[in-house]
Amino acid sequence: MRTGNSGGQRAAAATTEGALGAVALGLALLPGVAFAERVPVATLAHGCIACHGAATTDRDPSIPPLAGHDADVLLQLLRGYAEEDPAESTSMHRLTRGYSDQELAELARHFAEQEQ
Amino acid sequence: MKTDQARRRLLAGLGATLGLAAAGLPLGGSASRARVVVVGGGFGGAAAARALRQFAPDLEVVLVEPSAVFRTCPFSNLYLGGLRSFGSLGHHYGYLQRRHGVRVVRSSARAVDPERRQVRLVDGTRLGYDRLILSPGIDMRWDALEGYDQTAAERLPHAWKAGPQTRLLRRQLQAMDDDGLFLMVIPDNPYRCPPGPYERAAMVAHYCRRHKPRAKVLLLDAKDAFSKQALFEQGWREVYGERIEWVGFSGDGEVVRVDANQRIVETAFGNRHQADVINVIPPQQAGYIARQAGVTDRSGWAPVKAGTFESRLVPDVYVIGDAAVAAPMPKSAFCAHSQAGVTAAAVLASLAGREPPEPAWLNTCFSLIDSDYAISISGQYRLRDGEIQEVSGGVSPLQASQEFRRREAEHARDWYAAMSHAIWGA
Repeated sequence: MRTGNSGGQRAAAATTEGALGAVALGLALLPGVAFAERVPVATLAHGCIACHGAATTDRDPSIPPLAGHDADVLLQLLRGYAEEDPAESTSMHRLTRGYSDQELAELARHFAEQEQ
Repeated sequence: MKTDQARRRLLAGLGATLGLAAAGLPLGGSASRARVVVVGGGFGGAAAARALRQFAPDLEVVLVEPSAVFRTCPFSNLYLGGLRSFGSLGHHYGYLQRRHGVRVVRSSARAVDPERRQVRLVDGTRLGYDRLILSPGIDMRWDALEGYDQTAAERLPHAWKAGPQTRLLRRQLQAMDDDGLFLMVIPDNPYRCPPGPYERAAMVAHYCRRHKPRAKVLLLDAKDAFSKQALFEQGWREVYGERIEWVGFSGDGEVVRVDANQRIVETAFGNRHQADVINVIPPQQAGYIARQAGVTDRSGWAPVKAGTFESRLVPDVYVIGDAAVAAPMPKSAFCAHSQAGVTAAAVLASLAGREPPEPAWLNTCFSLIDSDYAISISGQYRLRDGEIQEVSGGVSPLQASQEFRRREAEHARDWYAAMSHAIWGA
């Protein structure tokens, strides 16, 4: 869970008040650490949408859009890529190994919440 | 004239919030609106503008870009090879304005005043900023290769910025004799799109296979190794036989002089090569505004803080994309897009007076060998001990089925569609 969003008035409000983005970006985390320990899910998801954004054609794209899929199914897929080198994968296993399991779970949840 | 007036009105409107930044007031209440100016509407800049508005819908984001249409370097080799139309490389900014509320100012940035936190545009207008993101791409270094200046480039195109140069090179290729020689001059690292020259060789060979069956492609390279080398050499051989010849630095591949009039290039050891079409990819540097803003060092590129891409030289100015020193991340469109996301988050944190969030970057570069044959390199990057490091990644396997190569070619096309849709909406 992302916590610490109950601080109310924060400087962040100047630019991000009312925006889900503030939470997703981890701006609510307490300052004082050089870098917050976790990568915000918004940053992680930004990487994914370079290939897996909205459907752009009628045909089935070879790279599926991720929005609106079941979180558990997505997570299972991602874990599969991270753990082995499945024949169906071209480049996913190269990238997925770099995420922690927690990050994969956050990504799966994030995309499950997006509208298709 | 009318558009000029409209633009002046727009800029006057923008000026309303300018006083805040100029006065250096802290961004306190929710009434105050911070403004981020982004210079450059390519993969980095346009994606940064979009990400900023997505992450912070109240933020004022101004994108300064002189062109009405952005033409992508990715897939411009496919245009050279005849696999794509020139029109398909073009993307507009209407979607960024309508869908994401980015204010697009069609102008060139000529100077940055970091003291006043203002960008001066070519017509003298000053745009105030709270944070500035420069994503200016590259400029050619016209002083780096003897005989190769802007005039020479009209005869020996670089085609390393997609646009008129790309069309010129295509026309020259089409006009080449059936048994002509296409020669490419390739620079040492770092330069935009490390695998680009080698994909271009394949795409030129692809065109020649059908239209210039006896033509050859000669690559003269200033280095001894290149991105995805084994995969490229295998692919070239499998698909095009002996048509493509690569000469590296050790084989006297470094070109030190060109004669545009005679279409001759000369190597370090004095070997002269004449060719029918010569594509010179010269050494490069960060785009003009980065140099003008004082964010570049003697290398010609912009050193940045690894976690945020804030300039090491000028505060509150961030540099992303090809202009930044981001090694081991390559100068690729994908990286520029990825850096845009991380830097957008860092800029918002900075505006809020917070530490930047932990970064994570991705890269994937597809290279087409043939219409149904592509190879790729991917990497994920994190901050380790204050430096950018690759934490996972790899390239396509050398041993792979035709089906695998075909799938990667399809992925390449889908990547291009998804990426351009995400940024420009088309």
